[in-house]
Amino acid sequence: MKTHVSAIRQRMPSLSACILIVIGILVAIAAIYPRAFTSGNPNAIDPNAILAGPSLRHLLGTDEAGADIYTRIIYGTRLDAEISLFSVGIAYAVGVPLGLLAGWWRGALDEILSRLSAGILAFPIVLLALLIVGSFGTSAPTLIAILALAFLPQVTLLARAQTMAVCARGYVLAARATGLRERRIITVHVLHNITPQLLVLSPQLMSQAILIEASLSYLGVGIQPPAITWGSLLLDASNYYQQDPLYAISTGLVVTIAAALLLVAGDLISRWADPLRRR
Amino acid sequence: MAMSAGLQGEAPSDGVSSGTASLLEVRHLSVTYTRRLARNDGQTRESRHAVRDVNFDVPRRETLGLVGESGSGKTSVGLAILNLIAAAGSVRFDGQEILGLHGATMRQLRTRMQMVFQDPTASLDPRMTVRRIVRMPIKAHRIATGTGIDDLVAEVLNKVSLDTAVMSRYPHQLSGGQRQRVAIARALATAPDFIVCDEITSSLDVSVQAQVVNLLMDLQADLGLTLLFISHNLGIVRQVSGLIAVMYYGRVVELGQSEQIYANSLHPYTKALLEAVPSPDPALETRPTRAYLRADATTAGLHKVWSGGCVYQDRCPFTTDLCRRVEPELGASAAGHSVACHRVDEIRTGTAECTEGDS
Ligand SMILES: Nc1ncnc2c1ncn2[C@@H]1O[C@H](COP(=O)(O)OP(=O)(O)OP(=O)(O)O)[C@@H](O)[C@H]1O
Ligand SMILES: [Mg+2]
Repeated sequence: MKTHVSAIRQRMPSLSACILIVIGILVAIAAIYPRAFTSGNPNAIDPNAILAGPSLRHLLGTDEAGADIYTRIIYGTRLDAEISLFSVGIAYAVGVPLGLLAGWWRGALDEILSRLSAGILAFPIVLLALLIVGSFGTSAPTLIAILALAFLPQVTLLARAQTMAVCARGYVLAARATGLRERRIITVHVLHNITPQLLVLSPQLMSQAILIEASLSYLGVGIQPPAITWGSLLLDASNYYQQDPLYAISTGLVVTIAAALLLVAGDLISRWADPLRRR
Repeated sequence: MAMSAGLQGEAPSDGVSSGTASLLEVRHLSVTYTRRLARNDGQTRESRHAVRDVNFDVPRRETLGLVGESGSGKTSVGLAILNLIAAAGSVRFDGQEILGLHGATMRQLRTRMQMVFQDPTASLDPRMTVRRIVRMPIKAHRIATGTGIDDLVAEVLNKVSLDTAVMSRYPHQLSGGQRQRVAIARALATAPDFIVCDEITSSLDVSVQAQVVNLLMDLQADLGLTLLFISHNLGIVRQVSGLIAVMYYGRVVELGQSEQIYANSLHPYTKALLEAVPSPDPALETRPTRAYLRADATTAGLHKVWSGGCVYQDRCPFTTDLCRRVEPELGASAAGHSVACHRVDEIRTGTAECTEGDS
């Protein structure tokens, strides 16, 4: 009974994890149902308040057209969440199986994948984005595809390297000695043991996605208005940072904090998934 | 010197027991590792023998101790016997040829032949509880179903004297000795006839080593196990094994009943090994004379590629031209067991002259 309780306690998230989970839930609500946080319309213009400072009506002030910045940030959450989640999700859905197979069977598949990955990695992502956007135009799906392609080699190479490391461990040989099927060894021992390391990377990539989206918007090849992303807000804000510093600071902070929180989340996730690092 | 009864009588010619009685028959077993050299083309390969033309039998319910220093190829023999690495030659288990088997047939056989590895920290998945670790083979071979699985887990844990409370623990929450017991429990879960024990005590504290060895011996008696007991510790091997094979650089150089080898070892390498074993009674301990090791002996010989002649020539004090040219075969000695040495008769009668300094 006692061991049971301690086992449950071990599985319990720490205080910092609780805070992050709450923030994550709030962000999810903002993305799915922004009205929960603001009654305003992100595109409603108040001609009497252009680049106004913070007030009770406009918590973070208004932008150059007189729209409420706070409302626009809240409404920008959805696209940023979608872009980061889907791009990283696709990269994982494709990259983990590829890396696993390459690391397990090695051989020609491994060789081809490693070279392809190195090729993609060597290509500057912003240049890649400019090329693709130039031929396909900007849209959320295009951006997601670009980011997924950019993240794919990182995920594949990580899964491959971790698989190879795990395969060299005694327990994989021991599992073969006991007579487990290869498929079982891969899913039970290998996948299970590379998951923590894979999980650490996912929030890092999501934070990269947010930052890359912001920089692409800044270059004018991001998501186009009227769609709102944090990156597009940052671009607008940067034009008026002298008149309204709070505009730039608040949007910039949102991007920075989101990226930083994701990094912290990555570490916590890996800690939680790894019984050796769990307190 | 008194001849020990039994084994030698049955097979006086080669020091191994007669074929049909043996659970395991190893013939001409060779293991070659090939590694790719880090050159520009990436295609240059270097291969070297880890095991070369090894022959021995393990009779049912007996223990063969496989001794030899690090790098002599003991683990490779164990892995090859279980068909876990590529090997040439023949390994017959209960009359059935194993090398080259694969798929369902081999998996099925694995229930009867298991392995316990050197380092339980490595051989146990750190992300699995003890319950899950021991369940793996049971479920893989459908040995039990439903609640029977956990009953069987408890039963094998009981066999290795572990409290069932450890079931919910992770390996890192256990002591070294407990971990090795879990590894033994996992091997026992499929009710095997034969277990390869690869240096199962070498990662443990000295105080725990004896417990694990005693446990293994009790298990062998209770369950009628046949064991290949790999170790570099002759003291422990003597305790558990009725038969001993001494390996050097991929070759078995001396093979026979342990009593005989301890009392009357003939190969210079075996003699050197025995001299290195501390006596259990300090008062009786004599200083190692190292008479059977050349003064300039190093382990460097183990890493060069074998180029003919006796494998022990570089370290042997009795090396002659013949030893450098012709490799001695493992053959019956006048003492009764098998030795692979050209000068075995001179060594036995004590007339062998040192050739140290010749080279
Ligand atoms: N996977 C491998 N690839 C290449 N060479 C190997 C491999 N495994 C072992 N060897 C080499 O084969 C030889 C025999 O190794 P093996 O592990 O069988 O020896 P051992 O007697 O078990 O040694 P130890 O007491 O250190 O466990 C050594 O020289 C080793 O370097
Ligand atoms: Mg070994």
